[in-house]
Amino acid sequence: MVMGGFSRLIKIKPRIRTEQIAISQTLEPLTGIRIERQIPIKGTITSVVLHYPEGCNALVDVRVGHGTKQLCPATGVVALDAATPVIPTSEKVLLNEVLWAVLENADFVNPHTITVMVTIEV
Amino acid sequence: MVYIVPGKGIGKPDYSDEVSRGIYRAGLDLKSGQSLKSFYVIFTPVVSPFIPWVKPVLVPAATGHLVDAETGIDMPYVLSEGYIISLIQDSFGFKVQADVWILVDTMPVAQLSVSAGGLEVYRNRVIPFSTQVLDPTGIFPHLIDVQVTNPGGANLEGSVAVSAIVEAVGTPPLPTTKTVKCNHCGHQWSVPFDTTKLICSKCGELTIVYTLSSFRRTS
Repeated sequence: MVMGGFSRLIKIKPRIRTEQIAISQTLEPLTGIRIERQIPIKGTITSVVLHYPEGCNALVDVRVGHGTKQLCPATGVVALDAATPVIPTSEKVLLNEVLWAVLENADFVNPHTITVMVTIEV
Repeated sequence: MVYIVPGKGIGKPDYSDEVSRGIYRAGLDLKSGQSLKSFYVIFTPVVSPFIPWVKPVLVPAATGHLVDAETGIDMPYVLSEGYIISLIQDSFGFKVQADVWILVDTMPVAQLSVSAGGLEVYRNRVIPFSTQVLDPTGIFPHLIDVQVTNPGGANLEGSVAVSAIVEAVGTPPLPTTKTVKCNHCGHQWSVPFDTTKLICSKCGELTIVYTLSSFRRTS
C-alpha cells in the first residue's frame, strides 16, 4: 500500500545519433559522374539536401539512391537553379551499404558545383 | 566514373548574380538562350587583307553592307526561324554624309542615320529595334541587313558597328559550327563556332574573324 505518494512515469527520450554524408562535386560542361560513398551506420535516411548554385538553369540532373534503389527523386531527376531543397525521407539503410549520387551537367559552356548532403539517423 | 552527357543549353557561371558588381558603365549580361552578334564595316583606303569588314572607300551612289564579324560574310544575315534579333547598340562615324538603313526581308524598316560628315555617334539603345515586334514567335526566317549608302559626291570613309542579341524562342541551341567566307577568294566553308583564324581550304590564305558564341557578359 502506497501512502501519500504517487507513482510517476518518467519517459526518457533516447539519444538520437546522426551522421551526414556530404558529396560536393564540380562538373565540367557536358560531363556526368556517379559518386559512391559507404554508409557508416545502420539507420534511416531522414533527409536529402540538394544544392544548385544560381546559373545551373535546370541543366544539371541529379539523382540519389542507395544500393539498387533510387531514393531522391523516386523516379526521374531533379534539375533546379539557385535552390537548396531539403527533402524529408524515411529510408532504412544498412551499414556499409553503398550510397550513390549521379550528377550530369548538360550545360554547353559552364561548369557547376553541386552539393548533396544525406542525413542518417540511428 | 566520369562520362560525357549530351548538352541541353547554356547556363551562367555559378553564383554569378552579385549584389554589387561595381559596374561603372553600361554592360551586357546575356540570359540563357541569348547570344551576341556583331556586324561591322570600315570604309578606308588602308588595305587589310585579313579582316573581312575592312573595305575600300565607298564611291558616290554606292551601297555597302555590314559584315558578320564571326563569319566574314556580308549582310544580309540569315536569322533562322525560331529566333528573334534585337539591335542593342550602334556606332558610326564618317568623313562625309552617309545614310545607314536597317532592312528586314529586303524592306527598309529603320534608318540608323543620315549622318553628316565629321559626326561620330554611339548609341546604347534602351528600346532596341527588334524582329520581336514583327515576328514575336520567330515563325519565319528573316534576312537582316544593315546598309550604308553614299549619297554625296565624294568617296566615303568611315565605319559602322552594330551589336545585336539573338535569342531563341523555344528552339534548340544554335549549332556548334558556322559557315565562314574567305576574304581573298570568297570560298565558303564550315568551321567550329569558336574558330577565329580561318585558313581557306581553297586558296590557303588567312582570314580573321571573331567568336562571340561564348560571350555572356561584360566585365
